[in-house]
Amino acid sequence: MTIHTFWPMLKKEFYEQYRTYRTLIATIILLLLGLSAPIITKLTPELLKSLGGGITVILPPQTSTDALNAYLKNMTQLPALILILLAMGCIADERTHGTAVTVLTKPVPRTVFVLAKFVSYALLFLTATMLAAAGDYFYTYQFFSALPPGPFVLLNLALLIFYLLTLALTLLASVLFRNAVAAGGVAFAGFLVLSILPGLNSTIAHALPSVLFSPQRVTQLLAGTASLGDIVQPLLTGFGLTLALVMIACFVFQRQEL
Amino acid sequence: MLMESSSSWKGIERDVAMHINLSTGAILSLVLPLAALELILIIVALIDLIRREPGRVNGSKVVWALIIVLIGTIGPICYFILGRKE
Repeated sequence: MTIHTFWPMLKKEFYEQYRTYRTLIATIILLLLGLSAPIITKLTPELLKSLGGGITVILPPQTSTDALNAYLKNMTQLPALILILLAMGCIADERTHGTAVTVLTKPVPRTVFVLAKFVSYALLFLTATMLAAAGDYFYTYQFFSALPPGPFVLLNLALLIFYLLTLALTLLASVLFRNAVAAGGVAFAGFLVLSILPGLNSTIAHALPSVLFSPQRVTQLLAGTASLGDIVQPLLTGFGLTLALVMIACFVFQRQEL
Repeated sequence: MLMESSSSWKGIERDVAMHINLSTGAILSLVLPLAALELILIIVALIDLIRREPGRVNGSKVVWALIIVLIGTIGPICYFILGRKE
């Protein structure tokens, strides 16, 4: 892979994301979800009280931990679906419309073509996640108390790896299928499997990054009682799976007829 | 969660104003950033829809305009992903 071909390809991907409003969609959605978590946590007891209709709802006082759990719940559902929707056609559409042929007839290696797409979406979601995290941290501090920065950064790193895994899955599906909707469907099915598997097997549950988002593990992280292995293993597994899926995508794409 | 994220911020603002003893300024400081973000999304989607030729839109422009305006955050996203012929 030559860096001389990678940068122009990455630049092209960023320009395409900007022109197709993908940058705007990802940034605004993640920001909305990040900001809304502490706000909704703050307002939930009052809203329940007001909507109770004579029924008394007793809730313990909401804390920054509740706001963090709401943030993680927000950030692991809709953003992953948005990521699948945005990236499902990234290779499938280029093959269908014939633009992939135009680009690849120039001296651009196929691996560079796939990697530029992966890196551009990864950087987009990295930026959006950082903005959402900053907004969430600020609002949580304003409404409750400051979250410990270390565990908060670690959980956001886990979120990013979770997005990278979803992206790698979508990229592979987009390489395998010429139809963007089919690619999206397969990526979504894969995402569902990754979400359901931890519930079926405890060994798998402890190995995937999503284990870090469970309220019990969040409490442990905030209290500093989680072991290093509990933290590192899911992050490494998520990163390793991502790497493997991207390599498979590159391998398959190199052997495909366009 | 989908409901939570797609619910109308205007509705939340109204509920908050009616039932919670917060000053108008405090309510605005809570909801304004969210409303502003949603508004940006709606305005950008509408501008793109208006500028776009009917042949480059999947379906009717009027229907998409209604979807963008009426279905909170999800409407503009649906338009950007499904409504445009790129």
